[in-house]
Amino acid sequence: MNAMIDPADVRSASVLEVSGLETRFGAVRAVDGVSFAVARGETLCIVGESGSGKSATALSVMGLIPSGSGRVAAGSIRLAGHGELRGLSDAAMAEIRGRAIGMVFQEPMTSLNPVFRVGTQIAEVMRRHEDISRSAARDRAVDLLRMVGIPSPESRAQDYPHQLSGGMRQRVMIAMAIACDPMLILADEPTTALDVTIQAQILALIDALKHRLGSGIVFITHDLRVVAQIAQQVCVMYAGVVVERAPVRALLRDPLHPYTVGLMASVPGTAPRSGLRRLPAIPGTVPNLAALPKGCRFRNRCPRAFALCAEAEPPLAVPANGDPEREVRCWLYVEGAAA
Amino acid sequence: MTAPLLEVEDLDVHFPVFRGPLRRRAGTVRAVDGVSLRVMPGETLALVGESGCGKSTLGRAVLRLQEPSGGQVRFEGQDLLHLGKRDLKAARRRMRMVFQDPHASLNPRLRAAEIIGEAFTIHGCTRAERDAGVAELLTLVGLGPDFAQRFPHEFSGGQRQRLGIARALALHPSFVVCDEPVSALDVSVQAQIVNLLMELQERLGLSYLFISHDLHLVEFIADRVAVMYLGRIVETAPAAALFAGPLHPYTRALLAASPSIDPDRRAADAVIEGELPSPLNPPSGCAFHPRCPHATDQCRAEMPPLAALATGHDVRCWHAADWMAAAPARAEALG
Amino acid sequence: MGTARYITRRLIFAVCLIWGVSVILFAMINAIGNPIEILLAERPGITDEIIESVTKYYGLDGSVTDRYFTWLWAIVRLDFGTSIIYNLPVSEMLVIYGMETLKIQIPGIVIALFVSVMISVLAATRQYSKVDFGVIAGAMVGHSLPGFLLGIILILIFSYWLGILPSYGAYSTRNPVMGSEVIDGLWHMVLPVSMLVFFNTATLTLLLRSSLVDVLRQDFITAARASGLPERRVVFGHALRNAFIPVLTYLGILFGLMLGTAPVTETVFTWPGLGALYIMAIQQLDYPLIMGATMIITVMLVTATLLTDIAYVVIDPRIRLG
Repeated sequence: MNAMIDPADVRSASVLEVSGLETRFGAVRAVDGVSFAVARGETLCIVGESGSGKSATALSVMGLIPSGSGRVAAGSIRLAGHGELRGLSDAAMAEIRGRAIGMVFQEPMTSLNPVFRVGTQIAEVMRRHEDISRSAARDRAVDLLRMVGIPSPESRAQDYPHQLSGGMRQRVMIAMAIACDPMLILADEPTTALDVTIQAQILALIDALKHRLGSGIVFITHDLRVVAQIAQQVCVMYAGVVVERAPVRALLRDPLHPYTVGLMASVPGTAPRSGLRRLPAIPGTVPNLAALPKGCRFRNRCPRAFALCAEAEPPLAVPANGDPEREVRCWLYVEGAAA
Repeated sequence: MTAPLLEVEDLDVHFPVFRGPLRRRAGTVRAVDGVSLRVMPGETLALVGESGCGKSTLGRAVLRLQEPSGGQVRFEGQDLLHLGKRDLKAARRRMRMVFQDPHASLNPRLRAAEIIGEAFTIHGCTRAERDAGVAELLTLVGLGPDFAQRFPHEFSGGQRQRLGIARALALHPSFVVCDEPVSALDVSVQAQIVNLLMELQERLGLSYLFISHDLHLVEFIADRVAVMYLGRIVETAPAAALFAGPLHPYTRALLAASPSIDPDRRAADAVIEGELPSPLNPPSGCAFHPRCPHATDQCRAEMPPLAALATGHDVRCWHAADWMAAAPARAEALG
Repeated sequence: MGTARYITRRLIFAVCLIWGVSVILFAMINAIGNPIEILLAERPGITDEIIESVTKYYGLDGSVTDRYFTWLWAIVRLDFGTSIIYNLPVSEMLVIYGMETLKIQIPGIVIALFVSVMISVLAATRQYSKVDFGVIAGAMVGHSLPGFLLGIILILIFSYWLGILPSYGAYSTRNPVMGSEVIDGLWHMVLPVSMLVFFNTATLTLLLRSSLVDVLRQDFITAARASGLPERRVVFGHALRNAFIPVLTYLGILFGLMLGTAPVTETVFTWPGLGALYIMAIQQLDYPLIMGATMIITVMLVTATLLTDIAYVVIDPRIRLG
């Protein structure tokens, strides 16, 4: 385990820096120029709906885009102490996966191998990356299970995945992800498949582990409420690009991009109750990523679109006269652009 | 006072569990155990609880899509559980279902017109009536008649759920069971479908049994709420009363665990321990006692009754009166 | 319930099954009539007295139940009587011919298993590539080719044209190959085993490839890759074991099929095995041989099923014992 880390030290350096990332599946531009950075001990939430490119971003960082169907076409992925990950060989990437970057998946029911005991699966990750004996790995697997809050970890380590509940399996997945003290944890919708009481337990666990291990966390979700619970920094993605980036309080208190505004409003219980029992919905659907329209990707659903939005895609930039800590991809916040 | 549209009395759905080479009966899962509820015309009753609590089974049993093991279901004055085939078919015109997964619940080989029109054909309408009905329904759910000849895979997730709703609304039902109708959809699309359901309710006077795990959505959409835990209702109340002053410790735990969108109100401290017990081997006494921070010996020994504490506010907890007397622990609404 | 208890139960069930087959077999043979009459009646100089005395000699004059239990007690002691045609103890014949059958069938399955694993991995990890389509097409063709055809083609090429491999029998009658009986035996096995490997591989590959493609799409495979396991370990360690679960059923059937297709293989290559013997016994109405061979085949089938069931428990922990 890492020693105690002074939060002041870790904020400075980024664990992961992604810039200009482009990932394509044939003609589909799933990720179309995404940049973000995560510091040690920081949780960055990537929020978006299906088709926003958030999961493809995570798989690109892991080097797990299936080579038959897609590829990382451009951009840079830099991991602290490892340099540029893009272009690394499969073997070199496999060394990093599971050791420097741990990943937690959405479906705890299907993300563990059904034919191996959970303790064995955790031990296998350690034996892959560290020079450690079989019995030592087994003991540490039990320690990890205890650390992620699994009761009677000695006997649970002997269980097969089907003998555990969804919440317990997700704890096992987390134990696997942190087995080698990774500097970065990628969590792709880790609580979406869980019930609220279990979700609360898992969110609390992830937050506690972040403080204990000092890792950076990239937490992917579609749920703004989960963002409010766990994030420090937030990237909102839409149709393959980041449309807004801000510290969590700023984003949720004062969303700038019309998509973020619409997304927040459509969450029940956020907008002030009016006499008319309707949720403020965003009309329309996500554009086809294989044939993106010219200009802003959101303009056909945007209540505030104007002529310029159809002509050119806005840059992701600090809003005019705004908070320098945030960025937004919208012509409304570019000085002199708005009509 | 009007008569209830649907009255469920002491409903049981028990599943036998078989084990061994001779498939001997090893026990019973009481998926739904002695549930009573009523739905008034034009009302939305929400059924909330975690997965495995029996809410979906209850929804199906009410429509007799799942044969109940005991109890009574009265719909529009008829005893549904003792209806013959023909009468049941007639009753089913008036009570329909919208499913969670619009992808799995629509036959991929049928066109939209056939999916919606099936009900008309089954109930002996002419072809012209059918076509007119299909066009009307497609317009009603915001798709338009142009969609009639398309296959489900040509629809987006939200459009597919609109199609599912149109199918449910064929033949003018009065009552629709909505089983997690928006939980498979994206947030922005969820709002569209929720609005559609509410709009249809106002226009057609529909009653909903709205099954959901999303408390925020329920607070928004429901008139009354019933909270289920391990096959039983533990609390039922008008939505406003329930969210303003939940009395059952489980309801409180659910509300506390349900994340707030306010980053300054993080729920980490409110996390309750443990998980849903096995329904095959439920705890003694109150089913919630192993996870309840306030459990006493009485809770461990005896199952509390569902008792009325205020008008329309029933709670299954030995200590409900104490919670009532203390200032509501959670007065602030969910944010 | 423990694995030992589970296996014990399956064993008891297997014994009951074999006993059931013995009853049905005996009833069917009995229904055909007195074999002595059928065998001797048409021959010249056979009188009723002779038939009667021969019937008595073979113990066929008692009641049905008496005869059944006499037979049952005999076969329990592995005494299947004497072959009418060959005048040899049936048990001895079954052992000799049975060994010859296993000698080509077991390698036929084991080698096929190994080859199909390799081919399936090659194809499934390159789904929809040219390699994959080639494998699917080849396996389809192999799977649907009539059995004797390939046998004849093999004989034509390697025995008739090239003259390097023997086309019939299990041993050379004179001059063993390279002067060694062992090499001679192996040399004779090449063609029949190749044919069996070919067919078993085709069918196993069809099943295993599609099963593997399904498994490789599962979340736990992505998760295994995400924890940095090398691709070899992901495919052979994590995917293959899961992919084998649906294929196991077929392996059990394959062992059964082995006895079903044995007559074809053994006829084409004039192989002195159980299949060829069985056909001969039926053609010549050799009752003790038919009954003995049927019981042995039943026992082999039931054993194969039993082994499959046990393999399931070993390979898939989700199977609830009980």
